[in-house]
Amino acid sequence: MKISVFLRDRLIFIITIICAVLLCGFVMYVTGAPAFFVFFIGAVYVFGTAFGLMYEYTKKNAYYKTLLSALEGLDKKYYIAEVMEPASFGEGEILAEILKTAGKSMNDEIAAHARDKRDYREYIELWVHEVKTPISGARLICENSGYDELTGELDEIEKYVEQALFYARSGSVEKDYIIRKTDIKNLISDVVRKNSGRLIARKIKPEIRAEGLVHTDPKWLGFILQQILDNAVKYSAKTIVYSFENNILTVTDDGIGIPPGDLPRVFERGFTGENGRKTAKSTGLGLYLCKKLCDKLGLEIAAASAPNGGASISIAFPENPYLLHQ
Amino acid sequence: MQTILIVEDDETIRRELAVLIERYGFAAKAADKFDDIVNWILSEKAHLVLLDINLPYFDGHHICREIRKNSNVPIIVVTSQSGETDELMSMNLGADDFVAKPYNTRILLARIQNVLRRAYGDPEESAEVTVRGLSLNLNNSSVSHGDGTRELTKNEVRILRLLMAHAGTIVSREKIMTELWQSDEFVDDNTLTVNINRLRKKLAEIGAAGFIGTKKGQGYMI
Repeated sequence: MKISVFLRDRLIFIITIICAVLLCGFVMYVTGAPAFFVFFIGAVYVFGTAFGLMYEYTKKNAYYKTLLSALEGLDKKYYIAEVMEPASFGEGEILAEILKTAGKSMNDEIAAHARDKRDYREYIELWVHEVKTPISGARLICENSGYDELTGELDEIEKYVEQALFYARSGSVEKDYIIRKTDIKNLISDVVRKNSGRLIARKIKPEIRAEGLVHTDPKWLGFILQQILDNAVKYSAKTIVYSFENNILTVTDDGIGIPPGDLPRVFERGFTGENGRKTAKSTGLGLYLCKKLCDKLGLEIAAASAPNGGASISIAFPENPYLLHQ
Repeated sequence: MQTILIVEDDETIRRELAVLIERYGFAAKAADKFDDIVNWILSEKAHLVLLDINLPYFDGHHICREIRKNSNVPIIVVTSQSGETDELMSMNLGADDFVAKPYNTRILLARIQNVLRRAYGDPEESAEVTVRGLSLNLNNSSVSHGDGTRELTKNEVRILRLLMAHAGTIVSREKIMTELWQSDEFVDDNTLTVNINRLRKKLAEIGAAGFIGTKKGQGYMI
């Protein structure tokens, strides 16, 4: 609390005291009191008032300072009512009361939202789980009855269902992944194989030059690789090259690439960019989800332009996974 | 013939899975009552059990544990639960493999064959395929016609096997490539052409020239 602010709040009081002192002094002087006596009485009044004000200022200033530094140190500011010390003056007591009530109602609100969010997430997980049964059934019917054209559509449905599941998981604070030693080549091969129909139909050539072991959750990384592959296919790549060096997995394609101006924003939610608007197939979700999942897994993801004009997405794995997840 | 039991409460999947399995040379039997499922599985004495987790009366984990008390029949858990815990739990309870729905049918069949091979060894009967006097031996990757025999590469075996399995119908280039992609090699269009040409040359050397016909713009046919 600045002293000027403190004094401003008491401006009327101070002016009143000064006027009263001047008036009394004037009356005493007119009635013939000695000048020394008049000045003495005036000085006692002025210093007495000043001392009282100083005392009050010191006390309140110390209280608010403690309160402010407590607020500063809090991660969640709305918990301030829980940590504040009781005030030794009336205004402080009122303030504490207000903060306590506001904080409590805020906590109730947050708890309600957290519960809603968890319920919704659980519903999405259940829904994804349920919808996989009819998709499996449809797949088997396609295979048995030779509806080859439908398989591609089922692949698309499955992709979106999977995306919904990972979207629900990406926003939660719960840790629902298991870090394991994963063979990167096998994982990439699985993802490529899953997309064989699309890739072959569009004559896209995958080149897997990545070999090595990483510590991560294979399902999550598989999902991330699927999103990157989707983008490559969407943006007309003819080859997709996977390489792994110095713990960095790089996926480079030769599609239309990302305009330099869009590069810093590709991981933003809902960002579609110049090329996304042109093809009108962009949802602005794929890379956003990749980034969120990478953050949770402790991986670093970055986008760049490849020398041939295509896009290049790289994922850096931590050197020592044990340090990271403790 | 090896028998596979399907323990699954969704009727469509049960029916279609049986069709698929029978098509690939196994006998399939599906449960339609689940109140005494463990005894039913044990009494059937099948070669393999495909087990769902979410079932009426008892869940798959319980069934798995109960079966293991009395039998070592191979079990593949098939479920739409994609959580890690389910997979770990199934393996801990004695399941031999775990496949998540919605599965790729090729992957499911490959897993079934793997588990069966691990449990009972290589089946003898399917090691050789013969179409119009040309036999493909899958055990030593060779093809023979009359007196001639030629060694084949892995890709050539895969191509010939697919074409022979669909003898009399046209197989598209895309379908052949998809089949080849199931291994770790992701061949492109040109490589496929090269593979086909080499295969034809080998067949011609043993007197089976023209065995693989080309249907322009559609694919190949035996």
